[in-house]
Amino acid sequence: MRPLVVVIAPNPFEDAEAPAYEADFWIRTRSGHLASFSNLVRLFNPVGGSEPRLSNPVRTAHPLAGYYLESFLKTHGYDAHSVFRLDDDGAWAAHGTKPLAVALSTTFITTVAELTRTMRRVRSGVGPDVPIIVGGQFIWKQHLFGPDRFAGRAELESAPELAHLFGPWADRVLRDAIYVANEFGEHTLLHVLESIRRGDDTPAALSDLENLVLWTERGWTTTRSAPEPIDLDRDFTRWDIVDEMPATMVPVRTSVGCPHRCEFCDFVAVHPRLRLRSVSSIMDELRLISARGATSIGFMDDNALSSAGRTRALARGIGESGLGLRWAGYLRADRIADGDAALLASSGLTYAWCGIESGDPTILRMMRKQSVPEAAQRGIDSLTAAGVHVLATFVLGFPGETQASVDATISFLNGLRHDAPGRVEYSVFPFHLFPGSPVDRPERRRELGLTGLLGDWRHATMSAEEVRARWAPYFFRGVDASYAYYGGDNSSFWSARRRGEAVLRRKSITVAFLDGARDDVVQERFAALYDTLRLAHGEAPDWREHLAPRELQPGNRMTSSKESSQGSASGGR
Amino acid sequence: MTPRMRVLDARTLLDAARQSLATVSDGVDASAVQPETPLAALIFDSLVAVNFIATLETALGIEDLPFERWLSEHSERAEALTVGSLVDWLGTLPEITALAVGDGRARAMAGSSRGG
Repeated sequence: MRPLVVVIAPNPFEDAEAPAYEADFWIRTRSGHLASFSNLVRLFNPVGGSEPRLSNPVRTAHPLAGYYLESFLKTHGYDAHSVFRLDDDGAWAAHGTKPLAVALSTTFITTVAELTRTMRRVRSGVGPDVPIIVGGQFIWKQHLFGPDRFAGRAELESAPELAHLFGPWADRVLRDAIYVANEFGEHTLLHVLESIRRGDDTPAALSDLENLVLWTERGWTTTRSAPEPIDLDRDFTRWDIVDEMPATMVPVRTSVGCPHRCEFCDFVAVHPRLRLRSVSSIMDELRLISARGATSIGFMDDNALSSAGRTRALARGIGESGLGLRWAGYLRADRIADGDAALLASSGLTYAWCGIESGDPTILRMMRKQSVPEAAQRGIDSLTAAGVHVLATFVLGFPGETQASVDATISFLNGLRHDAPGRVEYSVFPFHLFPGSPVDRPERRRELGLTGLLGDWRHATMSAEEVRARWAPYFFRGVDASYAYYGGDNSSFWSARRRGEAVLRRKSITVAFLDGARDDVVQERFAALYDTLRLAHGEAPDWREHLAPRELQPGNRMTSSKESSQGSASGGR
Repeated sequence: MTPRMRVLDARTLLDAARQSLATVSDGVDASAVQPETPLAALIFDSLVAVNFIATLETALGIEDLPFERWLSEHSERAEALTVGSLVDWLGTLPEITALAVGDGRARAMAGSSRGG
């Protein structure tokens, strides 16, 4: 009998209380769900007698790492079971077998506090004597940047939630784990599991293995580093052997690393080498996905479509496969050439995620984005004209940002076509000063007058606190495109006119909450939105019947910069 | 096409549509789905709609239903399309009619999924 490994891949964002910058502008339903159009349509048009079941599809996404590790372990002599929800009653009793170990992935974990909460729940669920092995992006970065990177930062001393994982103050539950510190980590995981099978799971016994961080009587000990034998063409998720398929969009990895050197992004340090999977390997994975009955996939890495040639090859491969899959992926809108949009749309591209960053050419130059707004605008318009929905993301507050550059970005968004078959959504992230990003270099900091770290920084033209308190609301009020990250906003059933009307009406309710407007104003605006989303004639009920009370609405939940994450520059973008 | 066959086809298609809608719409009981139920109330989200069509195609044993073309033909009032109008449209498709007149495969497949 194969030893069982429980793979834990939680999504803390599923917890509606988890701090998120964009949460400042989310309207919530009375049940606490996000007021996506999909959820509101269900609420306003119930089918049958039972309460409509709402969902937050973006926030409930399962990390790819869970599926990948499950299939990786199954192809390397283990039985594996993935757990995505820690409150799932059946998670710990799976197979009725005591697991050899738990493997915890930290793809979506971005703070030590969140890791501590997760570890407590895992330890409580699995019992006191099952080894917990923790790996993934968060651990790799904590190792890479080390406690020294965070030490002596006066601006962080009052923010214990930003404490470094491998510091002497680590919580007891955090010390009680084996940490895999590698850019990848799955092969190191195999070595740890082999050691545990032999009964060698003490720090002393494990210290001969590479790529580990262990708590010993001398404090944190790091074993020697060594590269892993990674082959992306070989090591992909074998969807034919995972227990559970994602509910909608199946995540696929096509690359690791990035060819670009954007100043705000830490990929240059976290993944210094660009690795691309071959199109034939990607197609092998898509065939496995299709065979399991899935209908849509998402290329989750930032570079699935980073070059025009690769984009076309992948689009042709998917289109000619006959699998009929719908797909989504990150792409450079400014690199879309004539004819590309039609090719992408005909191959099944449904959602394009485009990191635009700014609508101001000077800011783009300072970011080393190697892009100009006009090219990005043309690319987005050609995609939406071809029927592809676009999520455009921006960074607010990069050094040099002023009201003029913020206005330029607002104009960029409002100047996009809004009458096309494809829809435009946007999302804004406050600038985060990531350790390891080019802008974090000492000489660059001096040049830009930049101080601070992570979500607490200041430079010559703006501070993190000003971005949150002043510029983010200013930006939100100025833009008339749909604010993304509700999830479930895109519908095949809407004309551009109806969609535009709904976007503006939901925004007007948000603004009413932000302004602390009187109840009759909120009610009037709610009735207008109800009229747009109701599928049959009917009188609008009181807004409180469907929406959460004011204390849970925009304007009352402004998150503090101190709660900002230590996540990736590219995470969620 | 005889009137008798047309009636049988419509019922079979309605059952298949109901079952498929209940499958992709979390928490919805198939029996609550009526011909007058707006489709958008159950499959508003684009990806859920894609999933629904794939599920329906499997239930009916056919491929490449031109669902999006049908939606685009009603682009200004697509949100008002109902389950009944979907069934009516399905009944007009040559591949569906061929199945209904042929070996009755659609009926059998939709019938076999009712227990779920």
